[in-house]
Amino acid sequence: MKFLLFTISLLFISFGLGVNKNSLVEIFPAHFPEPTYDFEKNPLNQETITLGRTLFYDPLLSKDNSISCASCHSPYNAFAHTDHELSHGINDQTGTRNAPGLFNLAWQSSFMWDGAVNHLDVQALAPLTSQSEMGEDLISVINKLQNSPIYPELFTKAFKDSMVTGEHLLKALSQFQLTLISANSKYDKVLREEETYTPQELNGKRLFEKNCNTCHVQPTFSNHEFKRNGLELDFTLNDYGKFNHTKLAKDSFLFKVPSLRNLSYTFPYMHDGRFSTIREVINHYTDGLNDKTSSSQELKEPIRLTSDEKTDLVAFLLTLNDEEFVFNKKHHYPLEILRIN
Amino acid sequence: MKRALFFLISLHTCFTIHSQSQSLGIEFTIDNKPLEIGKKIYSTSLKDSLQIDAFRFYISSVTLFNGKEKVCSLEQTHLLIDAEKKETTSIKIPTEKEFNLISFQLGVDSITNSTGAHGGDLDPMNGMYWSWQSGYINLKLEGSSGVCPTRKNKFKFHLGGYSYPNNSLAAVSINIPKGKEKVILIPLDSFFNNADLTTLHSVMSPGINASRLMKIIADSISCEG
Repeated sequence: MKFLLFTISLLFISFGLGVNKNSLVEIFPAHFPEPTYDFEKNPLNQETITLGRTLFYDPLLSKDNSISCASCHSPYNAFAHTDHELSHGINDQTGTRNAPGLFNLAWQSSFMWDGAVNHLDVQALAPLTSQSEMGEDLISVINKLQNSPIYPELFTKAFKDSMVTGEHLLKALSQFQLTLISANSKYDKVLREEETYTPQELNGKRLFEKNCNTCHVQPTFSNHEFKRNGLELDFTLNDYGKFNHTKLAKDSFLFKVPSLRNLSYTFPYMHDGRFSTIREVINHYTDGLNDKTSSSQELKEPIRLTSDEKTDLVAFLLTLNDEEFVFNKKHHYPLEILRIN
Repeated sequence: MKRALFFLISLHTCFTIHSQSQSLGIEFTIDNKPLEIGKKIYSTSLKDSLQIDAFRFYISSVTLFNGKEKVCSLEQTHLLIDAEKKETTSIKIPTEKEFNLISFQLGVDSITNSTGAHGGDLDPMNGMYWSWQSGYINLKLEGSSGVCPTRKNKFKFHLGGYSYPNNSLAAVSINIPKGKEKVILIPLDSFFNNADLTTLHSVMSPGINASRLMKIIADSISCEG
């Protein structure tokens, strides 16, 4: 195990030196399943990751150059937007959904809370063009990039071709996001036999595996499916989840099962950020299910937990916080490229 | 000089084809008259004043046959045809062999729709990709009509949808008559006869209307020799 970690860090260190494209796939944790992302169609390389990282932090991507991806996906919040229930956009607008944390995306096969996006590469188009988020259009972004003093060179390095295209822009953003891997929490370290749980955490794990594990499947802590979780409709948003884009009655109120990693950094919770604490979320599942008859099968049998058990469950969930991920400078603002004017 | 440039360009675009090629033009009509983008016309058969501002669509998997025998398929799997851009309305056929049937799909197939970002004609920067939900716009038809009860009489059809039950990809298979100059004809009359602009003037998402209208256009495509 130590050897694997060593290999991982070695790979990270050697990033700057130019690494064989496909060897980067080895950064994926040994205790994770095979990624679903097809790396053959977009092989990772350090130049493209750097380009993607620069784009991710550059407000140039929004219509008035005020909002970047990182505005709602901050590295210090595990790439979510702590303390903001709904995403923000240009002109002080507020969106309709809670910006989720971004990590372990190579294991996801659909994106957005309602799964309206089918591939990581095309996900960025949604916030980029949403009027209440970045409010831009792709052609305009590409013009700005082509006329920028830094991007033509970054694109040339990344794609051996100075052409700034939509395809390259999107693939670079994917590459950076694919490197956002959270697999160094206490939970992971216990799996690697580097640390041990406290009795409380261990009891919490037992309760988790009895009550939550069907949807929040380890080690990514999501089965990446869509479930009806008994939340009452917020009439100020009228968000029907997956139904919004499929228009099929069977899809109403279906929302994506989110990962439970990094919960301390990503509050508030749920698709509309209605709960601010983990305890509130657990209370919803034990006592607050609005309509048991229409909840997904997994929630038909009520979850019963004593107050002490809830505390233990929270203790286990906190072992999923990955501080190394959150403070990993490789993912932070590329100060060396994007100078603050 | 110009000639040399032209030669270089053609050499570049069909470097695998060499001299053995022919072309298949695409023409658009309303009332049997050539379609002019951005020009208001009066259609006597439709009894309507019409202006088309944009007509763009994808064709994919172009394959040529002679009888039952496959002659060739185009190397480029997806072509974006834009009625406003002359250079897109002629399909280069990489063979000199005879063919009497052409088959293609109007739109983009589901695999291409679900495998991330693509380049060239499929680059989302071409404006033929939805952003709020994944998927290519197979066909865009925008303009205005006297019967359209909308602001500035505008209509907007962005037709797409790649998955069940809203798959709008439409198959086209047409006979090619003998002759040197072969032209694929896309008349829009049938579309406007069936769309009923008085009630339906905006389709911007996958659904029954998108699939139905795609099929109407696909079925009206023919070839003249």
